[in-house]
Amino acid sequence: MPLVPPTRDPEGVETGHLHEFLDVSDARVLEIGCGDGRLMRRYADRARQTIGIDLDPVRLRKAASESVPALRASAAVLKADAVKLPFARETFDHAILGWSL
Amino acid sequence: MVHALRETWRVLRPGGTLIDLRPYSGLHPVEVLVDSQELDAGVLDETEAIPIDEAADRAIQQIADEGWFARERDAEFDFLVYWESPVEMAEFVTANWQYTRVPDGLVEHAQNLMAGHSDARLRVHLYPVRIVRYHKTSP
Repeated sequence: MPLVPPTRDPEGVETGHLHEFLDVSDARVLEIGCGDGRLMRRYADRARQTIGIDLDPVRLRKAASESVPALRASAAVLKADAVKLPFARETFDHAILGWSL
Repeated sequence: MVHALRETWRVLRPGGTLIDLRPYSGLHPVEVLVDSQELDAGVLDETEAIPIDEAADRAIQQIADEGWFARERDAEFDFLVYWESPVEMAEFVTANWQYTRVPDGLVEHAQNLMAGHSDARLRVHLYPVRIVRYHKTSP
């Protein structure tokens, strides 16, 4: 039997706080530890570019199949380690440690 | 963690923003929602992970103390997670929440509270979830 996932934060409290703390409009955003893209889905449609990284290939596949297609073409996920980020200096306007530090 | 934070600093533009958003470990209350009532069903025990939270706090404090990031503001909130049944909750938590233990008897107690109420639900409070905003500075 597959596990039944819960409903997380249907009240949108987390989303509200994130948008209050961070204006992603037209910004380049890096999410470290994006997992299955749960958080990304809640802000990335407003950003210019969003890249999510994670080390878990299973969760990344879920993000790529479910979260990224629902977003604009400027969102992507990839497998990468936070201690060696595959990006040039000063690439992003914002970085989000989403349940990952 | 410190190395990852320094890497994050490297890829951020000058003045760029860092958001640290995460739940803190502890005892998470479980409630049964039935007939507009919130009935106490016990707690999920995630105290084993408290040292991990403390290590993360120390890492980001060290980075801030060294001048890589400056703390701007923070807030705490309650993050609610819902399941339709205690068994589904226990199975999911056991499989996915590495440091969280479902205490003996919690599932049975919640099932008893939900008995006879087809629309009853289970709610777990993850509190606190903390969000902190920093901006990139130069050490």
